[in-house]
Amino acid sequence: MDSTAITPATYFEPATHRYSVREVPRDETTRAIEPEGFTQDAPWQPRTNAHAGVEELAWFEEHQGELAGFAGRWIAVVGQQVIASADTFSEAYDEACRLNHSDMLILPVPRHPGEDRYFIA
Amino acid sequence: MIQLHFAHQHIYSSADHTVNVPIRIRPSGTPPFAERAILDTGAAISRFDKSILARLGISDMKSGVPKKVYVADNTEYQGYIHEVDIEFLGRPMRIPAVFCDDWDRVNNLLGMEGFFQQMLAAFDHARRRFYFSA
Repeated sequence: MDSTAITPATYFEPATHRYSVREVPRDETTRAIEPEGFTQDAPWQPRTNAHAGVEELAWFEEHQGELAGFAGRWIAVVGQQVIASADTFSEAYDEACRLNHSDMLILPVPRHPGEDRYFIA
Repeated sequence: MIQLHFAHQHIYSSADHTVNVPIRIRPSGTPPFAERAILDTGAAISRFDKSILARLGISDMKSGVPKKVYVADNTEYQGYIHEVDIEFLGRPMRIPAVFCDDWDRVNNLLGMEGFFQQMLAAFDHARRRFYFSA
């Protein structure tokens, strides 16, 4: 290992700092996601799901202007569709379950969806 | 030259410059669901909205470890830290997260202690890409 001290100046020097992305073979990814001994604990959750909520969140972020009708409410999204809405998280979740969905994205719609704003935590 | 290697990348949408990612919650005995969370390297610890407390298997918020929490405007809150099981883009993780009774409909944040601590991570925000090895 390089014992050279890493200072902030060298660490964040754009001219010398590069990164690379390693493509992981699918079977290796599967082993990482589904470690040996992972047990199936319910019919609807046999495995981890790396895609849960990904498409739904992208759709939500890009279609804020279409969500005015749900302002201030909780919604459940599957694919690119709102399948349930309610005043509380639990109600939205229960309704989505009643409709036999799983891995739905559940989140609150801002009171002014699409509003130009910044969030500072 | 320093080179970092990452096993995974995630492309995110970010109209407002926050890095929004889905996290998957697997309640015991009921269907799993996804929630939105913000990757927040400025947060010392993760925090979750209290609405998902019960689904995370926490029946009593105050059974957690009490901790004073300060938010961006320096307001002090009494929080309670619980170890929670989440799934981050297919990787099961157990992370500490703080809950507070005064917070309602707050954004879920994935912070440094226990979350970023478990991975090597980098942002390429110009291209809306998050790279990580967990």
